[in-house]
Amino acid sequence: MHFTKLDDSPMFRKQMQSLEEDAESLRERSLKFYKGCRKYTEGLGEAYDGDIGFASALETFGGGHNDPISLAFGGPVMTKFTIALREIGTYKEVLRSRVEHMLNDRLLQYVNIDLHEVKCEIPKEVYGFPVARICKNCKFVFIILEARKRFDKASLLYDQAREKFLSLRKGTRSDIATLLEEELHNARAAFEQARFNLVTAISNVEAKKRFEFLEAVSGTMDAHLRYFKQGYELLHQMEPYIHQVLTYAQQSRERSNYEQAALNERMQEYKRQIDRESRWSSNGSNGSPNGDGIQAIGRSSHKMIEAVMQSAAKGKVQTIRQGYLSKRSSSLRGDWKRRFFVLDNRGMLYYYRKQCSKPSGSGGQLSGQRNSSELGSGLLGRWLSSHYHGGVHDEKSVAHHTVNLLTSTIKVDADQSDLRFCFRIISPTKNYTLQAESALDQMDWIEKITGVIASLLSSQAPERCLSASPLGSGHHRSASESSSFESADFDPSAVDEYTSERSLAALHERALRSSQQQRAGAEKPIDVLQRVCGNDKCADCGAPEPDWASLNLGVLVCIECSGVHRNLGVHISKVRSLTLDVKVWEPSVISLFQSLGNAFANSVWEELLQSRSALQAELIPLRLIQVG
Amino acid sequence: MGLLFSRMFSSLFGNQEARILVLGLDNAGKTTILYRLQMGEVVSTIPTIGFNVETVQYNNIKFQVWDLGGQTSIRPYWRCYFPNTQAVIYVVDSSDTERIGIAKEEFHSILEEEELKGAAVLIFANKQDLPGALDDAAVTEALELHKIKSRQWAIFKACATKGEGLFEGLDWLSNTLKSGGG
Repeated sequence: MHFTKLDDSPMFRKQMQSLEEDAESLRERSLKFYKGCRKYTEGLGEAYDGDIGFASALETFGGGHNDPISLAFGGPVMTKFTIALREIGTYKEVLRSRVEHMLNDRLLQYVNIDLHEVKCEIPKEVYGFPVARICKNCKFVFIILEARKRFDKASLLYDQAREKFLSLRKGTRSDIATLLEEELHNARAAFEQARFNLVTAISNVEAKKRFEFLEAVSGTMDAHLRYFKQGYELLHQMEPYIHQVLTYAQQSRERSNYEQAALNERMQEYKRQIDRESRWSSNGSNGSPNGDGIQAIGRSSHKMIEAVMQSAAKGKVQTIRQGYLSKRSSSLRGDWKRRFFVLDNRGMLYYYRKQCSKPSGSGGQLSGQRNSSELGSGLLGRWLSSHYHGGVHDEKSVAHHTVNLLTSTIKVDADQSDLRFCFRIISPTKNYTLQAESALDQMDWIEKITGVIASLLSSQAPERCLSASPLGSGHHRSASESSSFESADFDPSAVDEYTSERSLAALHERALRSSQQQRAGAEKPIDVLQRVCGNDKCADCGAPEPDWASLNLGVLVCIECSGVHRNLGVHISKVRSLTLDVKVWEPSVISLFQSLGNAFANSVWEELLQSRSALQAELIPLRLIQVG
Repeated sequence: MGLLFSRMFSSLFGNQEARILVLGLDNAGKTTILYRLQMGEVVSTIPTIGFNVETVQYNNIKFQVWDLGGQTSIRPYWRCYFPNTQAVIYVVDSSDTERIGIAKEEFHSILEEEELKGAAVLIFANKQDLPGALDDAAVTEALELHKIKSRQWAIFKACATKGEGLFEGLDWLSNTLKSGGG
């Protein structure tokens, strides 16, 4: 206890005085401290705003969904980081509110400069009311001051009462004396009351001084501890993930270096090829291109196209050829525009209206698939694969104006134009007049497109399939078909043709599939018959892989020689295609052909010929007429 | 109304255009006929993979002639070319008596097509030069042409390699189309 004696004495009053001064200086110190705390909490608040601002900035930078740019550098990873940063921001806000509550609010109980100044003018009627109700924040010092005022007043009243009482004469009436005595007694009681109130108030502050601040500061320290603990735990959980992302970034860096090098190499190779080609064409343009050469290219590329087209049946879309062609617009002006054309193994030829900055190379797609498969089902695999899918969709969406080659033909010239390197693609609904950039280019496009048309037509469409489902029914397709076709987004002007082409494609696809089902049991006639002795070459001219046959002569011939045979009339040779004529190849016919073969058949039909080397092309019809 | 005007206008200046399909079994002579009509000469042909299309100017009519491949697996795709067709030229190999029945079936299935309802039909009994070729009357009977109802049709004996009968057929066709029968 601070007061050794509770008697009212000058020592007691002096002690009170000094304690009151202590309280006042405490208030001043608290005020300074409070200002520091205020600044600190404000700082925390700003830091929180900064954290959230940073998180938001990161989010807008890379957190968008289905945004190819953000996906490219790992949008979902960014999202995860953003969430963590926001969480940390929230922890900071919690810290701030705790500091505010623990420290600032408590300190305010000691200091409030405004209220302290106002307090002196507090109206009298407030007396008696608990001061805390006016403002609880400044109550302690305020209480002392209030108590002090009352004490001073009570002290004054007591002094007056005592003086009055002491100045009584001996002869004073006893009733007055009694009255004054009672007055004095009351004043003293009030004085004592006020004095004890003051003492209580002072001792209250003195006591609180010893624990209130400790609690507040240690509470603040605890809040800090929790803040850092939570933050640490959160980041600790994320640690492996952070390392994983870092490792991936490292791998990506290495891979991109590698790809960069590969790309450079490819570009060099491409440059060399361009050089070679330009040299070749400048040499070749003097003499007209060799017809035999074209044929040879044609044969080999047909085989290649056939193989690629087969993969379409398995649902794998591949580009057969792509590049820029000039296209004559269908408007009256007929001006030429450079367009990027793509020929794929579904037999679709389409072009992009605007020159796209990124080439839609199948190489890119392939490497994309490789990358995602390398990563497997890892954490990053998901967004990587989604990224590449997104890329593919993007490319599709700029494609315009497809033409289905199944019902199209190609003509090597331009209508009403004598420009070089032209060719036309004619479908029942639309014509395209196109110009390649060189003779070689033109030849290659024509080869590829012709090959695709031939391949499409030879992939056998059984008639019953068609009669059972007229063209219109192409619209109710199986799910797999619709997914493969509706991924493309075409502009409305192309829709009319597109839908008819699409149903056609569906028709063709179904035909393809059913013919495959048929084939599953039995091999294709062409495969069976080309294995027979001598059937690897045309019976007449020796061209490889004959795919036409004379039913009555039992030989396989090439398409050129089949034309000669047909010209003779059916009474001499009945010509059928091994791939395009479906009904004729019954088991009995196939077994007959198997037992013959070009080698044996020619040994009969050409028995009278001295040697094959003596045979001239003009003689073939004569010989056959003799035979027939 | 607009269509009528443009038609009158173009017929005044001889610019009528007609879309013609040439159909028939494989090796009937469709491509030979097309190029005989277009170039006036016999070309050596190979089986048509897909189709050929040429413009033939005759009797003030511009015929856009589509010669479609005749192999069995290509026939189902004929229907893709049916819309907006004014006339069909059906070519029969008169010497291929073995397959005349199939030719008949294909012919009648074409006639049933809704999209070819208004199209005139010209039949060429081709390859008259070959031994054993049926004449036009025999082909008429074999194809059961008497069954054709509410349609302009005609049959002509033809030999594409010699150029016989083709322009007679085309005369009939152009007159038929001009009189609005197409």
